[in-house]
Amino acid sequence: MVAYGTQEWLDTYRERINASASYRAAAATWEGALAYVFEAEPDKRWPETTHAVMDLWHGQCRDARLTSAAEAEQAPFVIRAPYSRWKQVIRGELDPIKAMMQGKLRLRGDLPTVVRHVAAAKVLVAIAGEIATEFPDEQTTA
Amino acid sequence: MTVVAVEGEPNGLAEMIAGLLQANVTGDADKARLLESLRGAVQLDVRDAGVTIGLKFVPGTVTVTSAAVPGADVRITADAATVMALSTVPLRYGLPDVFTPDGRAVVGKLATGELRIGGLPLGLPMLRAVTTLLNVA
Repeated sequence: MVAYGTQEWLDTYRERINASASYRAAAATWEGALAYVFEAEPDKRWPETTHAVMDLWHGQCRDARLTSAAEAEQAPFVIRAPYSRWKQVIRGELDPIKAMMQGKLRLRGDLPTVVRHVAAAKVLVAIAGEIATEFPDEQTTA
Repeated sequence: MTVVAVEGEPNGLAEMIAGLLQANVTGDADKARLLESLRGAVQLDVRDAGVTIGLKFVPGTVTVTSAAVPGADVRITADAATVMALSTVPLRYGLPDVFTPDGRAVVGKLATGELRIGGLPLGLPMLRAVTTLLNVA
């Protein structure tokens, strides 16, 4: 199990993305960093807003790391949501496209590019869902 | 000059469609000219997301609202995946190109009821215009 939202989780995510033929095909023309903002929900044991940036380039993930708010906001594409929404998406309980339409995931970036790459976005979510993830609000206290 | 405006408190779909329209009319002179001449309204219902938006066109401006538009010229009802497919499907004369697999897939959804379009045939010119404005293929 890998703890959600840690650098270890992002390293695993990057490895899985780079091993995915489906992602390579769906994102063959994607260029640009994608930032994820996991917004704080202290009552869910996610006390601080956390930022991650994925350097995605032509079907490969060249880098994935935790970063500052300032750097995340400079990414050409930013998706933000509260921690528990991300958890629903990763678990496959919430479709990311429907979530964006409902305003549950908030996207900033060039919409035509995003719409052209909806299939790639779905693969990214599916890959995240394949990682055996330990969510902080489900950890048992010692 | 073309303007894309958002009315009221936008839902996620309204923000997405406004962003898509803004990018398309800014980056494509033909689409900007199309918007310059358009008058009428379209309602889009995304059933599985439970979201409705309206697009109100007056020449040079489209206003996106997070509400139904009574008396809309065209009413499109579909699931989220079909709405996205409408934006990426190759078009021929403003309608899904049935000579492509993706075009046939979208048209096939009319037969199954996954995609419903109200207001035809009178609304056909508006349908062709709005699919063109939203398309990114």
